[in-house]
Amino acid sequence: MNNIHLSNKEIYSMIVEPDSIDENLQLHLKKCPDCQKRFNRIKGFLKAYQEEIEHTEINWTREKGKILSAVSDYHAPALRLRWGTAVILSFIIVISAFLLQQVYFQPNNGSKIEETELQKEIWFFPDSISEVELPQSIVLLTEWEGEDFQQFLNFFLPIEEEHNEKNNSITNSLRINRFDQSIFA
Amino acid sequence: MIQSMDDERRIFSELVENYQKKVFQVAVGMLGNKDEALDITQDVFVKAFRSYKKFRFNASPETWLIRITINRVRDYFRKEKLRRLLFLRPENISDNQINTMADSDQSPQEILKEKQLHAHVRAFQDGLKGREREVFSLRFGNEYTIKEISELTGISQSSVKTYLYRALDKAQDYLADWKAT
Repeated sequence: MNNIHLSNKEIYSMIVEPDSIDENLQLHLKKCPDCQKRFNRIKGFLKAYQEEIEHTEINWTREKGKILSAVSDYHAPALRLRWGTAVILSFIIVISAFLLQQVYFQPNNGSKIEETELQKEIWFFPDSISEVELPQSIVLLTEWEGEDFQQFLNFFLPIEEEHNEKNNSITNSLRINRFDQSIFA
Repeated sequence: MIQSMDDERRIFSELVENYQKKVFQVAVGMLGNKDEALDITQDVFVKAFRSYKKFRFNASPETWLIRITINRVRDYFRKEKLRRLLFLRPENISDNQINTMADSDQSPQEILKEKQLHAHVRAFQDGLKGREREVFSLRFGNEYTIKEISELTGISQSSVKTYLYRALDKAQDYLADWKAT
Protein backbone atom coordinates (compact mmCIF):
# COMPACT_ATOMS: atom_id res chain seq x y z
CA MET A 1 0.00 0.00 0.00
CA ASN A 2 1.40 3.37 -0.94
CA ASN A 3 0.60 6.50 1.07
CA ILE A 4 -2.42 7.46 -1.00
CA HIS A 5 -4.20 4.43 -2.49
CA LEU A 6 -4.17 0.66 -2.63
CA SER A 7 -2.16 -0.86 -5.44
CA ASN A 8 -3.85 -3.09 -8.02
CA LYS A 9 -2.12 -6.11 -6.53
CA GLU A 10 -3.49 -5.29 -3.08
CA ILE A 11 -7.00 -4.96 -4.45
CA TYR A 12 -6.62 -8.21 -6.34
CA SER A 13 -5.41 -10.03 -3.25
CA MET A 14 -8.53 -8.85 -1.39
CA ILE A 15 -10.71 -10.17 -4.22
CA VAL A 16 -8.86 -13.44 -4.79
CA GLU A 17 -8.49 -14.36 -1.12
CA PRO A 18 -11.23 -12.54 0.82
CA ASP A 19 -10.73 -14.77 3.88
CA SER A 20 -7.17 -13.62 4.42
CA ILE A 21 -7.42 -9.87 3.92
CA ASP A 22 -4.80 -7.80 5.67
CA GLU A 23 -6.40 -5.61 8.37
CA ASN A 24 -4.56 -2.46 7.24
CA LEU A 25 -5.82 -2.92 3.69
CA GLN A 26 -9.34 -3.44 4.97
CA LEU A 27 -9.15 -0.28 7.04
CA HIS A 28 -7.91 1.72 4.09
CA LEU A 29 -10.63 0.37 1.88
CA LYS A 30 -13.28 1.43 4.37
CA LYS A 31 -11.92 4.95 4.52
CA CYS A 32 -10.93 5.59 0.89
CA PRO A 33 -13.84 6.15 -1.55
CA ASP A 34 -11.54 5.97 -4.60
CA CYS A 35 -10.21 2.55 -3.64
CA GLN A 36 -13.73 1.43 -2.80
CA LYS A 37 -14.81 2.50 -6.28
CA ARG A 38 -12.00 0.54 -7.95
CA PHE A 39 -12.70 -2.45 -5.74
CA ASN A 40 -16.45 -2.38 -6.39
CA ARG A 41 -15.98 -1.93 -10.13
CA ILE A 42 -13.98 -5.14 -10.38
CA LYS A 43 -16.38 -6.90 -8.01
CA GLY A 44 -19.32 -5.84 -10.19
CA PHE A 45 -17.60 -7.14 -13.27
CA LEU A 46 -16.95 -10.47 -11.56
CA LYS A 47 -20.55 -10.66 -10.40
CA ALA A 48 -21.71 -10.21 -14.00
CA TYR A 49 -19.30 -12.94 -15.02
CA GLN A 50 -20.71 -15.30 -12.40
CA GLU A 51 -24.29 -14.53 -13.40
CA GLU A 52 -23.38 -15.24 -16.99
CA ILE A 53 -22.44 -18.76 -15.94
CA GLU A 54 -25.08 -19.45 -13.30
CA HIS A 55 -28.17 -18.14 -15.02
CA THR A 56 -27.93 -20.16 -18.18
CA GLU A 57 -31.28 -21.62 -19.17
CA ILE A 58 -31.00 -25.38 -19.30
CA ASN A 59 -33.64 -28.10 -19.10
CA TRP A 60 -31.78 -30.29 -16.63
CA THR A 61 -34.29 -33.15 -16.70
CA ARG A 62 -33.85 -33.45 -20.45
CA GLU A 63 -30.08 -33.23 -20.15
CA LYS A 64 -30.06 -35.92 -17.48
CA GLY A 65 -32.10 -38.15 -19.80
CA LYS A 66 -29.55 -37.61 -22.56
CA ILE A 67 -26.68 -38.49 -20.26
CA LEU A 68 -28.34 -41.66 -18.95
CA SER A 69 -29.25 -42.68 -22.49
CA ALA A 70 -25.61 -42.23 -23.58
CA VAL A 71 -24.49 -44.25 -20.56
CA SER A 72 -26.93 -47.08 -21.25
CA ASP A 73 -25.60 -47.34 -24.82
CA TYR A 74 -22.16 -47.91 -23.41
CA HIS A 75 -21.11 -51.56 -22.99
CA ALA A 76 -18.81 -52.48 -20.15
CA PRO A 77 -15.16 -53.07 -21.15
CA ALA A 78 -15.24 -56.60 -19.70
CA LEU A 79 -18.07 -57.53 -22.03
CA ARG A 80 -16.39 -55.91 -25.01
CA LEU A 81 -13.14 -57.66 -24.13
CA ARG A 82 -14.86 -61.04 -23.97
CA TRP A 83 -16.49 -60.55 -27.35
CA GLY A 84 -13.26 -59.30 -28.85
CA THR A 85 -11.32 -62.29 -27.53
CA ALA A 86 -13.97 -64.69 -28.81
CA VAL A 87 -13.82 -63.16 -32.30
CA ILE A 88 -10.01 -63.27 -32.42
CA LEU A 89 -9.90 -66.88 -31.18
CA SER A 90 -12.49 -67.93 -33.76
CA PHE A 91 -10.44 -66.29 -36.48
CA ILE A 92 -7.26 -68.05 -35.34
CA ILE A 93 -9.03 -71.44 -35.22
CA VAL A 94 -10.43 -71.02 -38.73
CA ILE A 95 -7.06 -69.98 -40.17
CA SER A 96 -5.25 -72.82 -38.36
CA ALA A 97 -7.77 -75.37 -39.60
CA PHE A 98 -7.36 -74.13 -43.15
CA LEU A 99 -3.55 -74.35 -42.99
CA LEU A 100 -3.62 -77.81 -41.43
CA GLN A 101 -5.95 -79.00 -44.12
CA GLN A 102 -3.56 -77.67 -46.77
CA VAL A 103 -0.58 -79.47 -45.24
CA TYR A 104 -1.97 -82.83 -44.17
CA PHE A 105 -5.08 -83.59 -46.12
CA GLN A 106 -4.33 -82.29 -49.59
CA PRO A 107 -3.31 -85.66 -51.23
CA ASN A 108 -6.29 -87.48 -49.81
CA ASN A 109 -8.92 -85.18 -51.14
CA GLY A 110 -7.65 -85.49 -54.71
CA SER A 111 -6.92 -81.85 -55.31
CA LYS A 112 -3.72 -80.98 -57.15
CA ILE A 113 -0.75 -79.27 -55.63
CA GLU A 114 1.91 -77.25 -57.37
CA GLU A 115 4.84 -79.40 -58.33
CA THR A 116 8.24 -78.52 -59.65
CA GLU A 117 9.40 -80.11 -62.88
CA LEU A 118 11.69 -82.39 -60.93
CA GLN A 119 8.93 -83.57 -58.66
CA LYS A 120 6.74 -84.34 -61.65
CA GLU A 121 9.43 -86.41 -63.28
CA ILE A 122 10.30 -88.27 -60.12
CA TRP A 123 6.64 -88.99 -59.65
CA PHE A 124 6.71 -90.80 -62.99
CA PHE A 125 8.12 -93.73 -61.10
CA PRO A 126 5.08 -95.75 -60.21
CA ASP A 127 4.27 -95.98 -56.53
CA SER A 128 4.37 -99.74 -56.79
CA ILE A 129 8.08 -99.65 -57.62
CA SER A 130 9.65 -99.35 -54.25
CA GLU A 131 13.06 -100.58 -55.23
CA VAL A 132 15.06 -99.26 -58.15
CA GLU A 133 18.62 -99.66 -59.19
CA LEU A 134 20.28 -96.47 -58.15
CA PRO A 135 22.83 -96.08 -60.98
CA GLN A 136 20.15 -96.61 -63.61
CA SER A 137 17.91 -94.02 -62.01
CA ILE A 138 20.69 -91.51 -61.98
CA VAL A 139 21.32 -92.01 -65.68
CA LEU A 140 17.66 -91.47 -66.44
CA LEU A 141 17.41 -88.35 -64.37
CA THR A 142 20.61 -86.68 -65.59
CA GLU A 143 18.73 -85.58 -68.67
CA TRP A 144 17.58 -82.60 -66.66
CA GLU A 145 19.46 -79.42 -66.85
CA GLY A 146 19.90 -76.20 -64.91
CA GLU A 147 18.31 -75.67 -61.53
CA ASP A 148 16.28 -78.83 -61.70
CA PHE A 149 19.38 -80.87 -62.21
CA GLN A 150 21.11 -79.12 -59.33
CA GLN A 151 18.09 -79.84 -57.21
CA PHE A 152 18.26 -83.41 -58.31
CA LEU A 153 21.89 -83.66 -57.28
CA ASN A 154 21.08 -82.16 -53.92
CA PHE A 155 18.55 -84.89 -53.41
CA PHE A 156 20.63 -87.79 -54.57
CA LEU A 157 24.22 -87.02 -53.64
CA PRO A 158 23.77 -87.90 -49.98
CA ILE A 159 22.24 -91.19 -51.10
CA GLU A 160 25.09 -91.84 -53.41
CA GLU A 161 27.56 -91.19 -50.64
CA GLU A 162 25.71 -93.56 -48.41
CA HIS A 163 25.69 -96.04 -51.23
CA ASN A 164 29.48 -95.79 -51.57
CA GLU A 165 29.92 -96.28 -47.88
CA LYS A 166 28.00 -99.51 -48.05
CA ASN A 167 30.54 -100.75 -50.59
CA ASN A 168 29.29 -102.66 -53.57
CA SER A 169 25.67 -102.55 -52.64
CA ILE A 170 24.10 -102.33 -56.10
CA THR A 171 20.54 -101.42 -55.31
CA ASN A 172 18.91 -99.14 -52.87
CA SER A 173 15.38 -98.73 -51.86
CA LEU A 174 14.20 -95.28 -52.71
CA ARG A 175 11.16 -93.66 -51.20
CA ILE A 176 10.33 -90.23 -52.38
CA ASN A 177 8.28 -88.04 -50.19
CA ARG A 178 6.77 -85.44 -52.43
CA PHE A 179 5.70 -83.14 -49.64
CA ASP A 180 8.84 -82.40 -47.76
CA GLN A 181 11.03 -83.23 -50.77
CA SER A 182 13.26 -85.56 -48.82
CA ILE A 183 14.42 -88.89 -50.11
CA PHE A 184 15.18 -91.81 -47.88
CA ALA A 185 17.51 -94.48 -49.13
CA MET B 1 -20.67 -51.95 -2.28
CA ILE B 2 -22.53 -51.98 -5.55
CA GLN B 3 -24.62 -55.13 -5.75
CA SER B 4 -26.04 -55.22 -9.25
CA MET B 5 -26.20 -53.44 -12.56
CA ASP B 6 -29.52 -51.85 -11.56
CA ASP B 7 -28.04 -50.55 -8.31
CA GLU B 8 -25.06 -49.25 -10.19
CA ARG B 9 -27.25 -47.37 -12.64
CA ARG B 10 -29.46 -46.01 -9.88
CA ILE B 11 -26.48 -44.67 -7.94
CA PHE B 12 -25.04 -43.24 -11.11
CA SER B 13 -28.36 -41.59 -11.92
CA GLU B 14 -28.21 -39.86 -8.52
CA LEU B 15 -24.67 -38.76 -9.26
CA VAL B 16 -25.84 -37.18 -12.52
CA GLU B 17 -28.75 -35.52 -10.74
CA ASN B 18 -26.49 -34.04 -8.06
CA TYR B 19 -23.55 -32.90 -10.15
CA GLN B 20 -24.63 -32.25 -13.74
CA LYS B 21 -25.24 -28.58 -13.09
CA LYS B 22 -21.88 -28.13 -11.39
CA VAL B 23 -20.06 -29.94 -14.19
CA PHE B 24 -21.87 -27.81 -16.76
CA GLN B 25 -21.02 -24.59 -14.92
CA VAL B 26 -17.34 -25.44 -14.82
CA ALA B 27 -17.40 -26.36 -18.50
CA VAL B 28 -19.34 -23.28 -19.58
CA GLY B 29 -17.12 -21.05 -17.47
CA MET B 30 -14.06 -22.36 -19.22
CA LEU B 31 -15.58 -22.57 -22.69
CA GLY B 32 -18.02 -19.66 -22.74
CA ASN B 33 -20.22 -21.71 -25.05
CA LYS B 34 -23.44 -23.33 -23.89
CA ASP B 35 -23.78 -26.03 -26.56
CA GLU B 36 -20.19 -27.18 -26.30
CA ALA B 37 -20.47 -27.18 -22.51
CA LEU B 38 -23.54 -29.43 -22.68
CA ASP B 39 -21.73 -31.86 -24.97
CA ILE B 40 -18.78 -31.91 -22.63
CA THR B 41 -21.05 -32.46 -19.61
CA GLN B 42 -22.44 -35.54 -21.33
CA ASP B 43 -18.93 -36.78 -22.22
CA VAL B 44 -17.79 -36.28 -18.65
CA PHE B 45 -20.53 -38.50 -17.25
CA VAL B 46 -19.99 -41.21 -19.86
CA LYS B 47 -16.29 -41.16 -19.00
CA ALA B 48 -17.15 -41.21 -15.30
CA PHE B 49 -19.43 -44.20 -15.81
CA ARG B 50 -16.63 -46.09 -17.55
CA SER B 51 -14.26 -45.61 -14.64
CA TYR B 52 -16.92 -45.68 -11.94
CA LYS B 53 -15.85 -49.08 -10.57
CA LYS B 54 -12.26 -47.90 -10.27
CA PHE B 55 -13.29 -44.83 -8.30
CA ARG B 56 -12.43 -45.55 -4.66
CA PHE B 57 -14.02 -42.43 -3.19
CA ASN B 58 -10.63 -41.22 -1.90
CA ALA B 59 -11.66 -37.87 -3.30
CA SER B 60 -15.20 -36.51 -3.21
CA PRO B 61 -17.35 -37.29 -6.28
CA GLU B 62 -17.39 -33.57 -7.06
CA THR B 63 -13.58 -33.33 -7.13
CA TRP B 64 -13.42 -36.46 -9.28
CA LEU B 65 -16.01 -35.16 -11.76
CA ILE B 66 -14.55 -31.67 -11.95
CA ARG B 67 -11.09 -33.11 -12.65
CA ILE B 68 -12.56 -35.12 -15.52
CA THR B 69 -14.30 -31.96 -16.74
CA ILE B 70 -11.10 -29.90 -16.68
CA ASN B 71 -9.20 -32.58 -18.58
CA ARG B 72 -12.01 -32.91 -21.09
CA VAL B 73 -12.10 -29.14 -21.67
CA ARG B 74 -8.31 -29.10 -22.09
CA ASP B 75 -8.66 -31.84 -24.73
CA TYR B 76 -11.35 -29.80 -26.42
CA PHE B 77 -9.13 -26.71 -26.58
CA ARG B 78 -6.22 -28.74 -27.94
CA LYS B 79 -8.40 -30.12 -30.74
CA GLU B 80 -9.96 -26.72 -31.38
CA LYS B 81 -6.53 -25.14 -31.66
CA LEU B 82 -5.52 -27.75 -34.20
CA ARG B 83 -8.72 -27.21 -36.19
CA ARG B 84 -8.18 -23.48 -36.27
CA LEU B 85 -4.62 -24.05 -37.33
CA LEU B 86 -5.86 -26.11 -40.24
CA PHE B 87 -8.56 -23.51 -41.06
CA LEU B 88 -11.26 -26.08 -40.63
CA ARG B 89 -13.35 -23.98 -38.31
CA PRO B 90 -13.92 -20.27 -37.87
CA GLU B 91 -12.69 -18.75 -34.63
CA ASN B 92 -15.84 -16.79 -33.91
CA ILE B 93 -18.33 -19.00 -32.14
CA SER B 94 -20.28 -16.20 -30.51
CA ASP B 95 -23.60 -17.31 -32.04
CA ASN B 96 -23.75 -20.10 -29.52
CA GLN B 97 -22.68 -18.01 -26.58
CA ILE B 98 -24.54 -18.42 -23.33
CA ASN B 99 -27.73 -16.45 -22.83
CA THR B 100 -28.77 -15.05 -19.51
CA MET B 101 -32.29 -14.56 -18.30
CA ALA B 102 -33.49 -10.99 -18.37
CA ASP B 103 -35.18 -9.80 -15.21
CA SER B 104 -38.67 -8.62 -16.14
CA ASP B 105 -38.67 -5.97 -13.35
CA GLN B 106 -35.78 -4.08 -14.94
CA SER B 107 -36.28 -0.98 -17.03
CA PRO B 108 -35.29 -1.09 -20.75
CA GLN B 109 -32.22 1.04 -19.96
CA GLU B 110 -31.18 -1.32 -17.21
CA ILE B 111 -31.71 -4.36 -19.43
CA LEU B 112 -29.66 -2.74 -22.18
CA LYS B 113 -26.91 -1.83 -19.75
CA GLU B 114 -26.87 -5.35 -18.35
CA LYS B 115 -26.81 -6.85 -21.84
CA GLN B 116 -23.88 -4.63 -22.71
CA LEU B 117 -22.09 -5.67 -19.55
CA HIS B 118 -22.64 -9.36 -20.29
CA ALA B 119 -21.46 -8.85 -23.86
CA HIS B 120 -18.29 -7.28 -22.47
CA VAL B 121 -17.89 -10.11 -19.98
CA ARG B 122 -18.02 -12.61 -22.86
CA ALA B 123 -15.56 -10.61 -24.90
CA PHE B 124 -13.25 -10.41 -21.88
CA GLN B 125 -13.54 -14.15 -21.36
CA ASP B 126 -12.58 -14.79 -24.98
CA GLY B 127 -9.49 -12.67 -24.42
CA LEU B 128 -8.17 -14.86 -21.61
CA LYS B 129 -5.56 -17.47 -22.39
CA GLY B 130 -5.84 -21.19 -21.56
CA ARG B 131 -4.78 -21.49 -17.92
CA GLU B 132 -5.88 -17.94 -17.07
CA ARG B 133 -9.35 -18.73 -18.30
CA GLU B 134 -9.34 -22.04 -16.47
CA VAL B 135 -8.44 -20.70 -13.03
CA PHE B 136 -10.49 -17.51 -13.50
CA SER B 137 -13.58 -19.55 -14.27
CA LEU B 138 -13.01 -21.88 -11.32
CA ARG B 139 -12.39 -19.02 -8.90
CA PHE B 140 -14.96 -16.44 -9.98
CA GLY B 141 -17.45 -18.51 -11.93
CA ASN B 142 -17.61 -21.44 -9.54
CA GLU B 143 -16.21 -20.02 -6.31
CA TYR B 144 -13.52 -22.58 -5.66
CA THR B 145 -10.73 -21.55 -3.30
CA ILE B 146 -7.10 -21.22 -4.38
CA LYS B 147 -6.27 -24.49 -2.63
CA GLU B 148 -9.16 -26.31 -4.30
CA ILE B 149 -8.21 -24.94 -7.71
CA SER B 150 -4.65 -26.11 -7.16
CA GLU B 151 -5.88 -29.62 -6.33
CA LEU B 152 -8.29 -29.72 -9.24
CA THR B 153 -5.94 -28.43 -11.91
CA GLY B 154 -2.59 -29.69 -10.65
CA ILE B 155 -1.23 -26.13 -10.79
CA SER B 156 0.65 -24.82 -7.73
CA GLN B 157 -1.17 -22.32 -5.50
CA SER B 158 1.31 -19.55 -6.29
CA SER B 159 0.83 -20.11 -10.03
CA VAL B 160 -2.95 -20.08 -9.58
CA LYS B 161 -2.65 -16.67 -7.90
CA THR B 162 -0.36 -15.40 -10.66
CA TYR B 163 -2.87 -16.45 -13.32
CA LEU B 164 -5.70 -14.82 -11.38
CA TYR B 165 -3.84 -11.54 -10.92
CA ARG B 166 -3.00 -11.49 -14.61
CA ALA B 167 -6.64 -12.14 -15.52
CA LEU B 168 -7.79 -9.39 -13.14
CA ASP B 169 -5.30 -7.01 -14.76
CA LYS B 170 -6.95 -7.76 -18.09
CA ALA B 171 -10.38 -7.27 -16.53
CA GLN B 172 -9.27 -3.90 -15.19
CA ASP B 173 -7.93 -2.86 -18.62
CA TYR B 174 -11.11 -4.06 -20.22
CA LEU B 175 -13.25 -2.06 -17.81
CA ALA B 176 -11.14 1.05 -18.41
CA ASP B 177 -11.53 0.69 -22.19
CA TRP B 178 -15.24 0.09 -21.84
CA LYS B 179 -15.69 3.17 -19.70
CA ALA B 180 -13.68 5.25 -22.15
CA THR B 181 -15.99 4.22 -25.03
